[in-house]
Amino acid sequence: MKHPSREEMMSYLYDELESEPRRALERHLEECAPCRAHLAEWRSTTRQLDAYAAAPARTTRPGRQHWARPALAAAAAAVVLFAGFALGRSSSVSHAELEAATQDVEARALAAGRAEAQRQLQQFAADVGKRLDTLQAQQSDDYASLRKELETVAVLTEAGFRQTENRFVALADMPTTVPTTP
Amino acid sequence: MARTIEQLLPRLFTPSDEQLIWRVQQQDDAGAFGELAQRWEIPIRRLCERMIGDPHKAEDLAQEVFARVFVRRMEFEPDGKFSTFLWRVALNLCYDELRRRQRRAEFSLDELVDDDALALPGDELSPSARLEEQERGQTVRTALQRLPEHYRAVVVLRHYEDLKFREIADVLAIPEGTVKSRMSEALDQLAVLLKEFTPPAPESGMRHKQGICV
Repeated sequence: MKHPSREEMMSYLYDELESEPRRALERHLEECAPCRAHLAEWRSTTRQLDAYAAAPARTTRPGRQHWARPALAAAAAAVVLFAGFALGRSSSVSHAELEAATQDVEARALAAGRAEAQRQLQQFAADVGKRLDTLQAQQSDDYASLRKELETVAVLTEAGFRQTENRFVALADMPTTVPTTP
Repeated sequence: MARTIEQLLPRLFTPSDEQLIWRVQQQDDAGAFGELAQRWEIPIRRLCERMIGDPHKAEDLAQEVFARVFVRRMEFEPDGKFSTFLWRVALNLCYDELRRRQRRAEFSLDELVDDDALALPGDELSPSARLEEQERGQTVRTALQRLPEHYRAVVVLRHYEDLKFREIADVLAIPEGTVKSRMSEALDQLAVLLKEFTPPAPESGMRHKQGICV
């Protein structure tokens, strides 16, 4: 009688055997007392292991990192950005001046080094440009307020990114700043 | 624009681990990294705790794991599984920590295990049952700490974190058969260790037996 290998027994113990080899192994176990005893011993050990529960809740201690915060900052920046786009679309202004304004925003986004923001801004500029071909002649006094809005968006976005960046820098520095228990 | 947001939101909020780490690699996306850290913080902390046997240090170590993952984000290969990369980084940091502790232990004979730090089981148990449960947990922890590290890693990943033998083989970069034979060897050793460290039952306590002739 060929006994199953220890490796096969481990797969069986952790329920990783396909149905065919599993049935074959179970047939063997029915006939083989030593293999049954082995398995029973392993099972009893694994049951004992269950008594060791890792700490369920995090303990609150000073100096903990808050992971959700960078996510919030990024999300806030994105929302502001989108709100800015929506506002911009509702106004109609002179083509050239708006282009200048969007380029201004673009330049800031670039400075913040965010390719995604830049891509979205380019898309935005293209969209607005298309619309403006038909609206070109209309009033330009909306322009000043739109420009202001766009600049605010750019500044807020940049601030958001900078904040996030700072957190990353702090994060990257962490291994050296984590206090080691003596 | 509203249409674009609608299209964007579902993709933003349910990305896979691999999509998230890709965003971290491409754009240093803080939000994506925060999401990954949130998803994995608890499993990683559990792994660290069971590898080094100290929940407080494990918490610091888990933070270090994510910091290191961020620093090494470019080393993640896009065709791999993010969790494999993460477990590997975490295990390596655990090994480093164990090495540090070993060096310190050469100068101090203090027991490394901090008994007060052991997790308390749920409140649904009566005080005596809880105490008993706690003792059993402590016995397992002590036994695990005596197990060779490469056996302990397999036990923690298979038994506690429920990784398949195949995944463990990927994390450790060893053949699957080796993982299984380590597991069986680990269980054999644990059976012996658990017997050794299980405290004697109260009625057979040493104090009461001392006067009795054997």
